[in-house]
Amino acid sequence: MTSGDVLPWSVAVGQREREAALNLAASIRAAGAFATLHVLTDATIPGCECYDWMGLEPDNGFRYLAYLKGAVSKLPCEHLLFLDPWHRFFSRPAQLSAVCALSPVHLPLEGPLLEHPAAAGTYGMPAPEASALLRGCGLKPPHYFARPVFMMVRRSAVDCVFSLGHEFRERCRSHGTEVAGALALAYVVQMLCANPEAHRAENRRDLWLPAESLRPDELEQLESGPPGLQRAIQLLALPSAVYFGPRGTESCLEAGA
Amino acid sequence: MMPHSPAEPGDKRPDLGGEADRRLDGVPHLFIFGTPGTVGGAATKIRDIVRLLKDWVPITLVAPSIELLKHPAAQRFAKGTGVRMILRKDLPRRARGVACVICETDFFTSGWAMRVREMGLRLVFSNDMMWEFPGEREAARSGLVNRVLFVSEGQRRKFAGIYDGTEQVLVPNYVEPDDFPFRERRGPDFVIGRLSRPDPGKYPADFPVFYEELGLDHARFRVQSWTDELRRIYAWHRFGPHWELLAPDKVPAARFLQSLTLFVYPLGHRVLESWGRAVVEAMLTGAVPVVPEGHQFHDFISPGHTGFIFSAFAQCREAVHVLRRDERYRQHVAREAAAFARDRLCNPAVHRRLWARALSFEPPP
Repeated sequence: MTSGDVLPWSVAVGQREREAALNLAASIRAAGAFATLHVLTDATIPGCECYDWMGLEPDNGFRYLAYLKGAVSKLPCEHLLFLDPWHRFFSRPAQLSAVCALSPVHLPLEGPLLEHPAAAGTYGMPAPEASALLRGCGLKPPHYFARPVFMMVRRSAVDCVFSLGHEFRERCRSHGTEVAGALALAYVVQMLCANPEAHRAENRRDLWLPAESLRPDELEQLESGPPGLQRAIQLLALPSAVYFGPRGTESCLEAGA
Repeated sequence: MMPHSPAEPGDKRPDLGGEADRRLDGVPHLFIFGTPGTVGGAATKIRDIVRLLKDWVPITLVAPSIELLKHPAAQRFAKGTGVRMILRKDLPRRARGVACVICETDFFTSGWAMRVREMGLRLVFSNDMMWEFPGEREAARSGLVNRVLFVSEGQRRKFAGIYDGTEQVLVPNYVEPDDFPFRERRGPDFVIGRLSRPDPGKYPADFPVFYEELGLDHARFRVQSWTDELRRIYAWHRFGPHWELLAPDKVPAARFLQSLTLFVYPLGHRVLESWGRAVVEAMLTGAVPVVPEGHQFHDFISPGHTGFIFSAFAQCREAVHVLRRDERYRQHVAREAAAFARDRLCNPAVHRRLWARALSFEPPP
């Protein structure tokens, strides 16, 4: 499969996020990854296919599920790839839609939830509490940490993803806990994947990683030099897309957004 | 007029053991509320109980609706066993005996609990599920239920808060073993599958992915009780030619189970099994059960000997691959599972004694 089966979309509200989306779109074009980045936004971003963001409240990160079901799923493409604007593409991703494996959804699973340093910040609660909620809603351990910044959904599974995410939210609410959309999406992907090993970020190092998982020399290789054969060979061992995270602000998908 | 089963207790019935015989002799008549059928735990349970007890106690089946009364499977069963089936409204005004109510969800809200007691019957209730029915708690608290039956300790614990003042008897399910003959699986054909009532809750959210991620080359997947609702729920999955999705009751349960090499039974996250009839039926036929933990399967599966219980997908996959690689071991586990199911879980003499205890009451003073 090529990236032709995949439609990339993002949400960028406010000047900082629009600038991030502008840079993301430029890196996508430079890498030849996709034809267009589709963005729900509050003002036009040059070089992107822009849509009215409809003024949706952040809703603790759940507005992204609403965008997915209510807007993005209407676009004609088999796989929908959400990209947080704080990404950069360095090369064209190979076998992108295969990242879902046999599952209808993919989020890179970054390691055991209880051990991941970013878990509390992303989910807005200590990792053991997040794990207890996942378990209470029927997700058997081992639980994995996943930040929902690079999420692929098969279009035919959008309704399923939406309902499972909201079911999780409601069940947690009924026990007095308001959860972040980020945790709900981590729940959804692990409920739908059967085999979490097939979704480990480390298994697709060629596709996606957060910047903190790369060594300084790997980051330097990604950033350095003009395109050329030698650089292209170097990039083969490095991820096509790197998540740098919001610099000095909260990510749009993290808790409390 | 008092309805009578043509199959009155006769002289030729086998001896149950003195006490059990005496106990069942003390049950003048057994009214079973529920409808026998071939799909679903309650319907099949009623079939098996009627056949287990009909030569020991006169039985009348009481259907909740004309549709269920006239259902061809119910009619065939009544004709074949000689047990009478009536509607609730056709019950006599007064009767002696026991009303055993099996998994009738409307029983307490329909007013029939009170009417059954007013008829003079003792009320024995068997919920069979892991959730309470409307009005069940109130009926138990008000003393309408004389005795409650549980199929497992897990189910008893689940209902502890409702039935703390009610007499409780543990009666594990009985499956008629001759309905599910053992068949030795030989050769390269490797079939994974499952059978349950057509309830979407019985399937995990990732159901088709679960089977496919097992990573078995040239395996076939067979599922019975697949409905339009399930088709809609899993519309996101592309079912390839190695899948066979059969409608409920498409193939007789025994024949379907005999076609499976392994009975792999991942369950939905909202479901808690109170016992697991389909698993025992599969064991009887020689399909090796591979089931999730957290239910009541540990009551009858000894991991590695009569099946496998997995806590995570990786464990399930490992068990399935071991069983695929080692045919002799798989055949051994299948035979052990079948023997355990037949001799220990589904021993009719043992179950008659349990039912004698469940249905008999001291005569009123």
